Amino acid sequence: MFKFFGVIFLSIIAVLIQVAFLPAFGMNIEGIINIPLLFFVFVSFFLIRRLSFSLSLILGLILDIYASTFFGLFTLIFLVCFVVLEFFKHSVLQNKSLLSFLILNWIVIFVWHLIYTLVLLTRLSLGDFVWGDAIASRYWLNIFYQFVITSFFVLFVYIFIPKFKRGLKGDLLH
Amino acid sequence: MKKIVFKKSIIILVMVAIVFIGGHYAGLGKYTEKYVAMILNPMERSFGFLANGLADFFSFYLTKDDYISKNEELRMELTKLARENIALREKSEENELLRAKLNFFDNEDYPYTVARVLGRSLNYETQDVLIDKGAIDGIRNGLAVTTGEGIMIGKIVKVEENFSHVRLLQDNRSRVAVVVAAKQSNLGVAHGEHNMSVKIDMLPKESEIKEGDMVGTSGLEIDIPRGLLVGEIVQIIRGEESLWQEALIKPAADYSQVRIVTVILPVN
Repeated sequence: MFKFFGVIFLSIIAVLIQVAFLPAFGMNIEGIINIPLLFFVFVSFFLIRRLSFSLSLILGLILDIYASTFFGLFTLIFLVCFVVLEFFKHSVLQNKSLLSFLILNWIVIFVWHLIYTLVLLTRLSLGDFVWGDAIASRYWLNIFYQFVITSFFVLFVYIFIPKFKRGLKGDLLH
Repeated sequence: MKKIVFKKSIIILVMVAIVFIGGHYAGLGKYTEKYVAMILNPMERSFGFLANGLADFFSFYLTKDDYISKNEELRMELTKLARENIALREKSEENELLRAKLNFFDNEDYPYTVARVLGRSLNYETQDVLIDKGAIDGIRNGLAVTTGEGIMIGKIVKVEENFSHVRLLQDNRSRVAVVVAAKQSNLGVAHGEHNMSVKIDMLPKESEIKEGDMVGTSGLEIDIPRGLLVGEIVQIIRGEESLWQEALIKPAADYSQVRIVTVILPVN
């Protein structure tokens, strides 16, 4: 129970960092890193499935409250990410190695942006946006940077936080 | 046994999510989201405050070496502005726009409310900011959001019980009726371009505009008063055969640095 509430509290902190802390620097940092998603992968990778599922719902709902799109989008995205992550975790990426962790991060980022872009395309077809404006080069660049920054962040944690390194079995591939 | 407990907790969580999402669309968000936001808003303010402090601290040390040259630049800029100011005094209409920069809200009778910027949503395709005032503070869609000096930065596009979404002028869906150099013949619509800049389209070719002209709101929109400063024209694009001309605007405020905003409330 203590672990559950601890993770929930940390998830709220993750959302606050994403929504309030990073944007205050005014350098588009919030566009190139997704702290709640990163936190979700960390929890899902190391902790039990029930906690991971709860987290996906809670993170999704809190992000939905502050979202400017339709309510429920982020809950949906997190739930799909949960399903995809569980699938890969229990099939092809069973080893808890650094590479598995990185690949899971990349998969989840890809899934997140795939769903998000599909929703955006639907809204484009409804005339909500103009193609060239909404999905401009900056949008794709942000996605690309998110892959890169997340990888660097994971490597940083791997190098400087021994507990994380100890939690992984094997250096890269196991 | 463990599996049953897992299934049970999943069912409860899914129910909670359905209640939340269903409640939102049934208009019951004020009973759920309101209280979540009530707890989270002060925390967001604290996080924003902390980040602002850090940003200020780092920007001071990073730009310390440039201060001397910057100071010189600013002094020259000040002299230039003073000269411009004298010239502009002769034009009463133009002056009306510039007056917006000096104690705007003390001189005008608009009802207004001051709000703090909470942060940004996780929507990558938009240029929206969250502010800590909502429906209970009298905020509604379409209201103008400005800095304290009367520089318009955006419009309210979504209102929750105790916070709201402001669409910044550089958002590609943003539209605001403007006038260039306070001449009613220079009416146009400013809109965001690629979420990065602000542009005026469809200005008649005969409109006499030049780089450096000030752009303000025209007052043709409900709830958006005339004379709010938007920015300054930095580039004019005229096609050979086109009937229209376009102008790029340099916003009068750095939207990313705005921390406290003023929402102009409806007069009634």
